[in-house]
Amino acid sequence: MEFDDRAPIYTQIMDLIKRRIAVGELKVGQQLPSVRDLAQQVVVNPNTVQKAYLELEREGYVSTQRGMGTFVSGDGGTVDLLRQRLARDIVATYVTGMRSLGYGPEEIAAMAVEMARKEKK
Amino acid sequence: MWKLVRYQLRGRRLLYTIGLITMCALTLYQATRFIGMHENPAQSAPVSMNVPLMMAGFWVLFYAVMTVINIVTYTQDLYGDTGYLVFGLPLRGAEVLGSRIVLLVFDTIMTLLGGMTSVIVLACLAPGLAQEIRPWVGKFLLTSDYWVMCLGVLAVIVSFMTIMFFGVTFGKTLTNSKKHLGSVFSALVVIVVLWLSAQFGLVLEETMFSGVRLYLSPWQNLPILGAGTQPAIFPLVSPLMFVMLGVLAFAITSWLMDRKLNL
Amino acid sequence: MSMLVEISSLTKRYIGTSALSDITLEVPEGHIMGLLGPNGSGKTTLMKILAGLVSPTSGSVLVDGMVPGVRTKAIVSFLPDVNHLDRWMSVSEAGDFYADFYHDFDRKRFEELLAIMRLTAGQKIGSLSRGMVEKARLSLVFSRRARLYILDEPFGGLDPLARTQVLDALVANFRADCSMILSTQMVADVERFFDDVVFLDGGCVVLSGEAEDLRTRRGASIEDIYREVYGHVETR
Repeated sequence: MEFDDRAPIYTQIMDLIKRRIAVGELKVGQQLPSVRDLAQQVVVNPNTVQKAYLELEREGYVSTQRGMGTFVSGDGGTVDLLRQRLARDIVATYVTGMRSLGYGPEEIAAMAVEMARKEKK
Repeated sequence: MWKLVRYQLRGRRLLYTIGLITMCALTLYQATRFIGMHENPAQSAPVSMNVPLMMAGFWVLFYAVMTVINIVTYTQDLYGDTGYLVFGLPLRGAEVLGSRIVLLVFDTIMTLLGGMTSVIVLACLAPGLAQEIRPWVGKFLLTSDYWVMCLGVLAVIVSFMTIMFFGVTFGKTLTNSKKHLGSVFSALVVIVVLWLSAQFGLVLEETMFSGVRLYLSPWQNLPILGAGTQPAIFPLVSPLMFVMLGVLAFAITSWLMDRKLNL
Repeated sequence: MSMLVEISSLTKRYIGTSALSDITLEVPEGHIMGLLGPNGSGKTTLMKILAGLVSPTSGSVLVDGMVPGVRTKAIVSFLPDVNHLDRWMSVSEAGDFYADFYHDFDRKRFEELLAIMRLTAGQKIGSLSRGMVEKARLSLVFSRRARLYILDEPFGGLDPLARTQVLDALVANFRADCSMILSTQMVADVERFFDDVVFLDGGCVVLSGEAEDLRTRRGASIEDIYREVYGHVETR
């Protein structure tokens, strides 16, 4: 997996997990890969994965049960919320990019709709 | 320590094989010089005396080469890359140095036995000499004075080499990467130590211990060599002092290896 | 968190030159520390001191609470930056050698690593290419269940594919009860394995800290910081 070394690795691992939860790859109540397994999978320091899990737990997305592992916590509501939050981040990036090219709100929206329709076909 | 000796011996198996095969070949070659001499014993007498002596000379040369190899490989351990392997082991300096000395003793004994075998074989084959030598061989091998002499020589050689090892180690602990400075310095240290001990030993022998001498007759069972009746005089004080110096060198070198290593 | 390595005011001087001056640093148990710096900055000397191969001039060095010596050598697995194996040994003989002298050597693991690295046990060290020797040496070092791994330029002779194999082995091998100190010139390839980084220059620590912390504070990768630190030094 490719990381951007200019940003902390653990936040990028957090984003990776959050995305998996948002799209339903990881369901509520499902167990996360063990720290060691994920570290080997994405080839990073196990301590970094550990830190990402701790932060995710602090933010309430996962919970750790002693001796059992780490599980996705919350319900359908939190997953929706997470999905919306990620969507908003993507839109924000798009809007900022369009603004820098000098487009107004209507054009930005219209272009997005047009593109989405094309993709569908 | 014995494990290290085993590995070092294993590392030298090729060297030993080549060395021993060469010496066997030399002995055989020398033996061929006797062919055809049996018809004319009178003319061949000097040759038959010379051949075993020459072979003994070859063995001395062989031993000199082994000694140089012993010092060079030790120097390589200290100055070269394999030192990280040897000195990275959880062993005390005394064990590392001890393994080197065991190796040296092994080389010396191997040379002595090999040399004796090939000289005796040649002497027994030599025309003119054979009849005189043969009855004495068994007796000579049981001469205690001969073995005492060998043991004394071994002790002096081991001490000498320990002092050499000390010189190399001391040079290395003082300097780091400047290889030549280190080895030049260690050579100087060794020469100074040896010279001082020789001078001191001579002085001691002439003054305090003027009467202390060792009288040995290693050749008493070989009357053919002519020195059978008169015991030879060996110095006792300076070799003893030399051995003590060797023990001291061993102690200091082990300490340097444990505490002052700079690989 | 307990400290596996504690170094305080460590100085190493040779006649006429100073290799390390006043180094103070700690490596917690379970951490991987990156030791960074250009050639001649003192990385190798520092690692050799920890491995018990060079004696410090002053200051104190403790590995698992012990002064480097026979007892620390039994728990430290050191990979020097040059080939330390005898050329006459075969790969499996080198394994025998390690197994004989280090009680923490795991022969099964060694065989697994040889398979991963695609090495044949019977090959003589002297007949191997530089990259193969490097892989054999790394297999030996990783086959020990040591408390402290000290790796001096472990990726030097390796091609990119082999580097990936080694990194995979490194992560798979790492345990919470050991620590690792790693020096490298290829910062970009390994920076995501570092918990802590220490930048050395001219025998002094010029910058040190947690890798993630440095990334957050500077908004830059460790490699960028490396360029910044030593670029600055060069133009000084």
